[in-house]
Amino acid sequence: MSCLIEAKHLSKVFKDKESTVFKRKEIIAVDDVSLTINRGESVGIVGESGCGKSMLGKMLVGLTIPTKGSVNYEGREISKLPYSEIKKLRPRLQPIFQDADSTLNPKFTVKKLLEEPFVINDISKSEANQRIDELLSYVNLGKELYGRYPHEISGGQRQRLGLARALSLKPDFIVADEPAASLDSSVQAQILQLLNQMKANHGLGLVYVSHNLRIVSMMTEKVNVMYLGSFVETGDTKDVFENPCHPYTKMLIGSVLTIDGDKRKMGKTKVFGEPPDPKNRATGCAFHPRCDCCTAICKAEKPILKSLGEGNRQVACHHA
Amino acid sequence: MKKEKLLEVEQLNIKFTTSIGDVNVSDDINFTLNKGETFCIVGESGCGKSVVALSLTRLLPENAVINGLVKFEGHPISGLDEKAFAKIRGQKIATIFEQPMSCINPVMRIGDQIAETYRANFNCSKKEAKLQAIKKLEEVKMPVNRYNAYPHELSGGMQQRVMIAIALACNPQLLIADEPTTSLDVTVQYQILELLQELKEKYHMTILMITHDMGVVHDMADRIGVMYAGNMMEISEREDFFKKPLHPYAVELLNVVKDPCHYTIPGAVPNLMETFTGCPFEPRCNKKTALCKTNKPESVVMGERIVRCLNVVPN
Repeated sequence: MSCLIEAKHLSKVFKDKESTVFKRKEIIAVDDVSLTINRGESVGIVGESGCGKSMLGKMLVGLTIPTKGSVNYEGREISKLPYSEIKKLRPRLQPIFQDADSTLNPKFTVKKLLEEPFVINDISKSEANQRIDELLSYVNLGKELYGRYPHEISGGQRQRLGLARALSLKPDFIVADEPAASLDSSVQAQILQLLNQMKANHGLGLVYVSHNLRIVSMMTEKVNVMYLGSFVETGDTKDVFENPCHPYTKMLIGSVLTIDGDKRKMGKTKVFGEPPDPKNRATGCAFHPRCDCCTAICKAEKPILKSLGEGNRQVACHHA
Repeated sequence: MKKEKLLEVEQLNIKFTTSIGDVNVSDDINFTLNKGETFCIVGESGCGKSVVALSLTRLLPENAVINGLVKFEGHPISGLDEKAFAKIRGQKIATIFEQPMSCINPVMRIGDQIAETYRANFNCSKKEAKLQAIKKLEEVKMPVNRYNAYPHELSGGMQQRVMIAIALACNPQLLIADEPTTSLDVTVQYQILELLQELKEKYHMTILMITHDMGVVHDMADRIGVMYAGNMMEISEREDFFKKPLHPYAVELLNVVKDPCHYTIPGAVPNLMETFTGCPFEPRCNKKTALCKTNKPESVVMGERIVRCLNVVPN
């Protein structure tokens, strides 16, 4: 498998609103994260809200410029390219957002929305029309929607329209940021199957950002668990879900309620604490205030990702 | 042992009159809640589950036309006048919502808001109300030093706890929880559900939970009602339901939740402005027969279960 996107030591730091000339306060959204995505591979990023997973996704497709580190796409560093060059790469790198509404101009009809990517990239009308027909049948939308506006179609249809637009220029790499979170389970299934089909047919790289662990476990081959801007555990999805090593991964997986098995799950895992505030970062291991196997070293020293056993499993915990 | 009934809903019909026609959101719904159980209503968005729950405490907008009989502890409450009903709403039946901020006052300290409930319902002194409020804060596992915090200073999970504290202030017998954890992280959801379970046992409460998350249903419910397009399709005990759902919609819904990468229910939920001559699920159903299009299924009682499908025959 060839490497499609390679991110090295990515960091994103924001200046806090309360920052003054004398005292600079920073919010570290993403902290020294490295990952690679190969062609035809799907990688999951999971974590609680505010852990920086969406920010990481945005940096991977070049929508946000990292404070430190680099993102390489086919050997070119996209974070350093001038705007005119990035614009040429945009068709190759596409994001899909949770709220498709935010990407659809409310004053455009469905037809115009579908044509928009082709107009922007100077593609002839005949070619565009042919491709739009293909796309519509692919995402299972009918032509009767052409004249409608985004508010006149259902949420699932909007999400599929968003997918069609993201796919229209045949991208190599897609970051899907909670693409099915606000949808009903039957509609959610349609979107997930579409994404899988896309991946299989076009061999594209997919990053699936979500807090829904069940779906990530089914959709991805590799998974990265993120806590307060850093990866705490990475590895093959199957391994990580079957045998989580980091206490946070254990807590996260333990708190997912599923309909598998007969027994109720409540009360089996100890879950406590709230998603952390990036402004008040704990010293040492960021997870230590919520961890039940925390010792002195956890409070003093920040653990780094270490390889564990064979394979590509990495865990950032002093006690793993 | 015969279970004691707390709430009985019979032939509940709700429609909204709008400028472009009537919307039928509840079509002859019948269900009962036994004392001390958790009853979950599941269904996709727009199937009318929240409307049914809100109608029980008369929280619907004015254009809602409600017909049917609701009995609480054996007494009909659907005919009560507003003054008499105010004694039931809050004191006997309390509600919590998905968005805590829709019920919490943003410019009032959270402790005072809990105390206010005591002042309003029990006519007690300010001092007494404050003591009670502090006790409630401890009960929902909030640090007491947050008594003077404003809602915006709290996280989503904490706000949810405050709302639970307000709802439980009067020790209600029935708690209606309308998607209480939908907007929360899994870890926080887990803790809130644990808290609800704990408080339910402590106060022998009955919970009516509205949700679309099957995982939550699997863990919380004692009995389950599945709604589709304003109809109660199936009511079953938890074990029976997950082992062998009867209604084709329930079967498909469970399949999709179990394996979203391979199953899907084709089609979309119907527009509730249409009137159905047959079964509303017929266009999407894989077990349909010619009769389904023309004949409306009636609820069939099969032991503890109630199913509304022409093709499910009692054995």
